[in-house]
Amino acid sequence: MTAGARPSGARGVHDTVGRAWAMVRLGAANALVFRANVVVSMLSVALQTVLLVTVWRAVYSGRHSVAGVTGDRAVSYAVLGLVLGHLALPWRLSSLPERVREGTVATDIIRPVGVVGQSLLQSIGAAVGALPGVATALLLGALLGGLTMPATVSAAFGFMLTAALGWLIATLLNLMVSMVAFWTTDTRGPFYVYRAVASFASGALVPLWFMPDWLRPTLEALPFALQVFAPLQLWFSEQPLGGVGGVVLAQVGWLVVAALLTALVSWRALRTVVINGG
Amino acid sequence: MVELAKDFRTLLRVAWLTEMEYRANFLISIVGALAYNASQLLFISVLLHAFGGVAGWTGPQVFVLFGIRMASHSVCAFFFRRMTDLDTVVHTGEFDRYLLRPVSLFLQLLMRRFNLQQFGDVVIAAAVLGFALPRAAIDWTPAKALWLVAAVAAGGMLEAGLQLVRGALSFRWTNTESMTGLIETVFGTFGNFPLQVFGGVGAVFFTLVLPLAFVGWIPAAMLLGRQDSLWFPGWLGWWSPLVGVGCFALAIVFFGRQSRHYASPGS
Repeated sequence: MTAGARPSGARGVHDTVGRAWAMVRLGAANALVFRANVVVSMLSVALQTVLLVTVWRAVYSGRHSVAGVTGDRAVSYAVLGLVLGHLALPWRLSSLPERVREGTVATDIIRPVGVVGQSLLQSIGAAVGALPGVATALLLGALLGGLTMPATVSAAFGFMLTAALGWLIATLLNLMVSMVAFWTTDTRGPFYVYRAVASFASGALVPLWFMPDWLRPTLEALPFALQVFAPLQLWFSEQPLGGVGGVVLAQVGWLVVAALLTALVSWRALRTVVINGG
Repeated sequence: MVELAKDFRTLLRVAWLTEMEYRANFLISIVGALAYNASQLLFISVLLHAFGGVAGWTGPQVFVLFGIRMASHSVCAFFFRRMTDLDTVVHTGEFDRYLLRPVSLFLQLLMRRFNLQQFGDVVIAAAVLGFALPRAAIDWTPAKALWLVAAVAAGGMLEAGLQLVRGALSFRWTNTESMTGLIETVFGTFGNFPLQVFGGVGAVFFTLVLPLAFVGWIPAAMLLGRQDSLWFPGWLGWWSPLVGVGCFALAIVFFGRQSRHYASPGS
């Protein structure tokens, strides 16, 4: 069957997939095009892996368990948290504010994939571009004896599923915060606040196991804990929110909220945008 | 030098007037800078809450180290933030203009913009030092206070020097974003620990290869009388500010040399 003879519905799907794939490739290419940068990124992750393993072993020296957490578990958590942070958590300024400021967002708006869709698809590409760093951290973590595997296959599956959903929540929230650029001249302030809260409350900086009792329930009620802490709890065979089902349910709930908010913000933003020059 | 101070004052005034055009934005930016640094403070606080101390240093001693590191960083952020802009300056061809003007390339980079967001860094550094110094058992003398000021300034110059070297590599590599992140992460996260935590090899590495020791660990050890933590004779620590000044001077020379490899994007 030739392309011309293909039913229009199938061709529409084919075109949509093609466009989406192009956006993913664009995101990956942006992350991988500067090879020296990729190499430095891998070295950076390698150095951070060694330092994290060393620091956590040092703070545990002479202690078997603190707050019910063993040294081995804390070290593994640190390595996996670094992997999630490197691969999946876009707590960095997206290129959207820059494109709004320069006016190149005009090109984004006339593309056949919407601005939100473009950003999400390019984020998938960026995550693919981060894979060399992920492999480095996992390999080095294992070589240093700082990585314990999940006890069961279902724990590994639960981790992968919830880590992917956590990534999606983080990506949507990141995009929503980036859209502040449509209203303000400088997005760094709001973004730094968001990043500080997100990185701390997610457990990426320090596991929520070590939080004071008065603070932990609040942090666990926010969507950020579902991005790092809850998936890693599943890796270590803990059962947050009753297990994988409970975590997925909570994540889907937050995803719906985040998607609705992002749709609302982008709807308002695209009616606010002013393109200067040309 | 007088001319430089005058230029800097003018730039500060322009920045102030610019920021006052968008007051809400200015305030949000300062809050943002505070939040960014506060996350590191929270990290250390939680760790000390759970473990009591780090590598033989007590909580107040670690906070002094953190405060000194933050103060050094705020010197870097306040005076030398533009070092991190070199990627953009090279990408966009802005450097073309620098080459046409009869002023030092380095000074033009330094003066390209002044962002008052850095007040957030200064505020949090002052708050942490204000909290930590009175709680640490330090035998103060005027000389020691002056030495601390010099050590903080030199620490800021050291961080700025590293960022300048990193930025200078963009003349060849075009994109050095990962390296900016590496320096910020290593300084921001691991610079807050007494470096003996990384073992003998780690402490030597962070003194001689990636000189993180000079922005927090060595000044704090000297001030707190914890020279026993250092891997070299304690008296050498009093000379440590020279390293920051020396690194900064070398970085400016390196920047000048690397700028010869600039290829204009033609825009």
